[in-house]
Amino acid sequence: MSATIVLADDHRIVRQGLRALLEAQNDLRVIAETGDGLEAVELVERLRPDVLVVDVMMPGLNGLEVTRQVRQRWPTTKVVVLSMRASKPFVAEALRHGAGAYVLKASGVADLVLAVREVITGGQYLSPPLSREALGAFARNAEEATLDLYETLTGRERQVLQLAAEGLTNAEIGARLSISPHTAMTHRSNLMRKLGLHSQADLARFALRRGVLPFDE
Amino acid sequence: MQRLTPEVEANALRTVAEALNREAGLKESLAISLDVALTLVGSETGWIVLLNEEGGTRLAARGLPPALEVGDRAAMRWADCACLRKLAADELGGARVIECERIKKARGGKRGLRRHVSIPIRANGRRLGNVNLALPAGREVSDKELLLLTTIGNQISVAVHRAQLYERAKTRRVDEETALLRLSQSPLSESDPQRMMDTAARAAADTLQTELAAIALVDENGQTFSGRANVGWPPEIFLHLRQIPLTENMGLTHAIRNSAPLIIPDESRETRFGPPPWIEQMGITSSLLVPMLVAGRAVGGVVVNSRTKRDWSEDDVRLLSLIANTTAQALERVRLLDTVRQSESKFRALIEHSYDAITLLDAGGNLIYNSPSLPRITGRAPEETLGQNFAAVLHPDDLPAAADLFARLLQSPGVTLQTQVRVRHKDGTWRWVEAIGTNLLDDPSVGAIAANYHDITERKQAEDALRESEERYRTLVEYASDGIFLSDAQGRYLDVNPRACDMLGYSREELLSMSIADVIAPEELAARPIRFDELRAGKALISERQLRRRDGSFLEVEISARILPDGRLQGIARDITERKRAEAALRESEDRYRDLVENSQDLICTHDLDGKLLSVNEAAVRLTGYSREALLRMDMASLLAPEVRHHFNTYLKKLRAAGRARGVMQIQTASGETRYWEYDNTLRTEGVAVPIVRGLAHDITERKRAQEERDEILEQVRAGRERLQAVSQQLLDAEEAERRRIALDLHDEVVQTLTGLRLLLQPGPGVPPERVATRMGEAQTIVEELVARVEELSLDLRPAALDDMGLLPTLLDHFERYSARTGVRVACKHSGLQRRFPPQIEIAAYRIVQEALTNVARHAGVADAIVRLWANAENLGVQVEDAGAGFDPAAPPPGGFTTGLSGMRERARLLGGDLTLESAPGGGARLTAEFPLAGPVEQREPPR
Repeated sequence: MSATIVLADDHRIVRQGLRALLEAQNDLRVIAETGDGLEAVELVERLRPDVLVVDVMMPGLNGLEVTRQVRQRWPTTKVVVLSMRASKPFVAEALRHGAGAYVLKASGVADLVLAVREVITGGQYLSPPLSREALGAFARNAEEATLDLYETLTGRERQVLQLAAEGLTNAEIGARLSISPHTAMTHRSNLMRKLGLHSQADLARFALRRGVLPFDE
Repeated sequence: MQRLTPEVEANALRTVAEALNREAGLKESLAISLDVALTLVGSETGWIVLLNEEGGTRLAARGLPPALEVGDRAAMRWADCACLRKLAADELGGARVIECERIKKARGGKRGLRRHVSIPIRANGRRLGNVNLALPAGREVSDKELLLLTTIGNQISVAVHRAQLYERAKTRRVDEETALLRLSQSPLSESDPQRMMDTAARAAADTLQTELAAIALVDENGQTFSGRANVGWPPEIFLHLRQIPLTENMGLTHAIRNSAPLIIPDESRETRFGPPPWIEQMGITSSLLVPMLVAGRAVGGVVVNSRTKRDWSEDDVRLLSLIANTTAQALERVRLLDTVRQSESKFRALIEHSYDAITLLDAGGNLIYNSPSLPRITGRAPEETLGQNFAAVLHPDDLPAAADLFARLLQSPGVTLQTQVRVRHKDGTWRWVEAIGTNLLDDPSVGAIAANYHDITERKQAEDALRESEERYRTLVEYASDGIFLSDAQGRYLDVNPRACDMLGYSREELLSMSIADVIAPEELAARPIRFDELRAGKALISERQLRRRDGSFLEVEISARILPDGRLQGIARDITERKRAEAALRESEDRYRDLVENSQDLICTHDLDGKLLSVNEAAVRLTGYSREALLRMDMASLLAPEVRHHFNTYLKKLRAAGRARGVMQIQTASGETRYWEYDNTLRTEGVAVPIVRGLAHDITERKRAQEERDEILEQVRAGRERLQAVSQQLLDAEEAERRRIALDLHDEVVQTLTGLRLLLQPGPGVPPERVATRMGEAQTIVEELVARVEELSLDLRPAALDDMGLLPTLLDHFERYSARTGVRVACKHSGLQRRFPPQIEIAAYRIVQEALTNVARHAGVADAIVRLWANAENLGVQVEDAGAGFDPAAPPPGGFTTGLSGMRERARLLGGDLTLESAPGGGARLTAEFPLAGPVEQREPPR
């Protein structure tokens, strides 16, 4: 029994080329094709293919979003993403959205067949020169480098944060820092916005957690 | 030089003693003593010095070398001579030899002198001076010699001391004489007690040489005393010396009570009295108090005080007592003189101001005595008319009555009769006198008819004048235009004038049978009864009443009523019908006017030229929030907003000058709100007692605010348009530059490459088939390069991946390419970015980061940059930081930087975001952009 494939690419010529290529394989069968992202999702819903081959660039709904929805709703359908770009961030993003394979359009035609076969068996495939190792390192870096919001504050905002957390009013902060109460208020609202804080209690909690305020005092 | 034998010794001492005991002057005696001493030590040079405040005085000298003769021969100064100072300090030393500094320092011939014997002269342990004997070179002086010289010195000391005491005694006597002289000259001859006491106080202070002196007198009540004169006392302290009871335990009260002097050499040791506070305040150390005695009675005391210690001598006491008693006697003299003077003048006044005159007549009617006050009445001297008969001095018309009276007096001894007659005045006029005659012929001490009389001419004249005035009054009453009613105390009419009859339509006879109550409408009388009580109490009343006429009609009158001296009531009635009508009309017009004013929506007021508010309408109360009462206590200036209050004087000036002021004033209401009034105020000077300003104002605050708001919006629109224009131009420029770049890229790279490709693919003649395969391989490579290049170009134009991949992957991709191209590493930290944002925000955030990184590569000169990205439900923030060169944000580096920055700022602003830039030269740079996310965005987490 051959695996069923839905093909989604907005370029008809590319689509035809790919279809010819895939159908030349005995064990693969293209059961539908489309040039629109939304239609691709509908087709998957209706036909429940084994594999969806989808271009990143799609009108209607972009390829990654199609991938995400498909993988979320019908996990039995594996997705091969086609892309022009051999960029690690993009690959990582595609994989994060649930793609099983990332195939460069510029790669040789055999690459796509390899990828389809790989995903059907539950594996992952990346077109050369991409490699899982390089990608892994990148992804780790990208994930680990999460942001401490405190770093985004300006020097002045940090001073205001500390004084505000100590319970000083805008007027008192202004007097302490030799700025107008109005300016102090602006700094305070800016830093609260940056830190996503909504109340004085939030502010004090943040200051405690972040160690801006010592616990004993 | 003599050998010192007992004989020589005795001789010397005797010679000195004799010399000093002689009657001759001290100077001469000292010269002899000096000679004796010089002989003893074999010297020809020596001098005697007596100390004084400045140094010393040379009293005797022998054989002084020229160096010591220089300058004033007599005076020597402390500063000149160390031995002088040393000797003055060395109280107990005897005669000794000294290396003299003074001689050493002296310029000129010294005849080899260096040393001298110094013999002290002293009395009562006090150094008075020195005998100095210059020593020839090599002459030593034995202890025995020094002892002898000391003895001679002692003899000299006794003489000098005696001479000084004598001198002082002489001076004291002179002082005493001077003081007495002064006292005898001034206080005794003075008639002003105060000046007398001032002089005495001064004399006391001068004579006893004290800083302070005071004189106090026992007050008239005999129980207290008060300070009257002083020298040296500050007024604020001397003031307390007032009415101090003689029973107080004080030095002065003691002196006065005991009539004895009191000596206090040392106040600090004085225990007999409770010292008054001023002793310490004034720093008084010693006091001397003596009573002021007159005939053994103390009338006061004189006090002298010293701030230095004084042992008051008997002389002092005697002298001060002398001053005190002399002054007391002089004061007493003045007092007695005053008393005498007063009783004399009293007597004289009685005589001179006597009103009645007295004349005595004998039984024949001849004048035998006139009292001294006669000239007051007749202008004649008392003796002038003596011997004349009374008929000669009386008015002929009065003679019959006078003769009759005289006859009656003669018949009845002891009787007293009174009459009014005219007597001739010296100036020819007749004077009315009221005379009381008494027959005292039987009284042995008088033996005459006594006529006691006084001038009543003026009273007579006054009576005449009164009569005349009464007649005039009657005329006035008759022809008065007001009705005049006279009634008795119960209101019954006694008299009325013709006008009164006219007014009421009654005849005079009719009215005289009526009373006040009959002509007043009954209802009115009930409502407002006639206030007889008040009238009878002397009060004048003015009231408006309606009178009822005979025909039953009513008449409006104003009645002025009062009681006359004779007890009658007078009422003057004035017809006020016309006035009432005019008043009513005026009131009506005023009411109309007030209605207009009060109901006006505009503010109406009057104020004077100081700005004081005189009247305000209801609108003013409503618009200011102050009550009417409060407003009428305020002035215009205090209504003005504080920031414009200083214009008020200009406003007043304008009103004064031009009579009118118009404009807009800024007002502060009671609640502190600022309002704008358009006003048009005019000055009115005609027809008013004081110039007033009529103010008319209209509240235009809302209009003005609307106007301001409109202006503000217009300004915003204008600024926005300007910004838009600037940005549009920038965008156009940027677009043009971009197009140029792309065109260049397309031409230089793509077209050139394609041209090469075409040449490669052209099947030229003679190309061997094996070469074709090679060429195809080459072409394949070129096509791949071309694809990459075109892709790059397209990415630069717009990162298509942004739409497909989202912000974070696209930025990460960009960082890779950016690092590859520029060599600047990018560390990216992010939080909450794994989601999609509105496309315009994504592209703006992307472009801003891209631009900021471009700036880092161009300007910062660093190998690292940090990019922070964060998002929460409300905001997306991007931040690009480097630790590079930095710059002054006020003066950013040239070269498109500013344009780029304003482009970034504009992008952020268009999306409601904000862009801030922090940097300092050498301190790196940090650019932060934040975008508001419209409402919480649904979090869409991809599956894992």
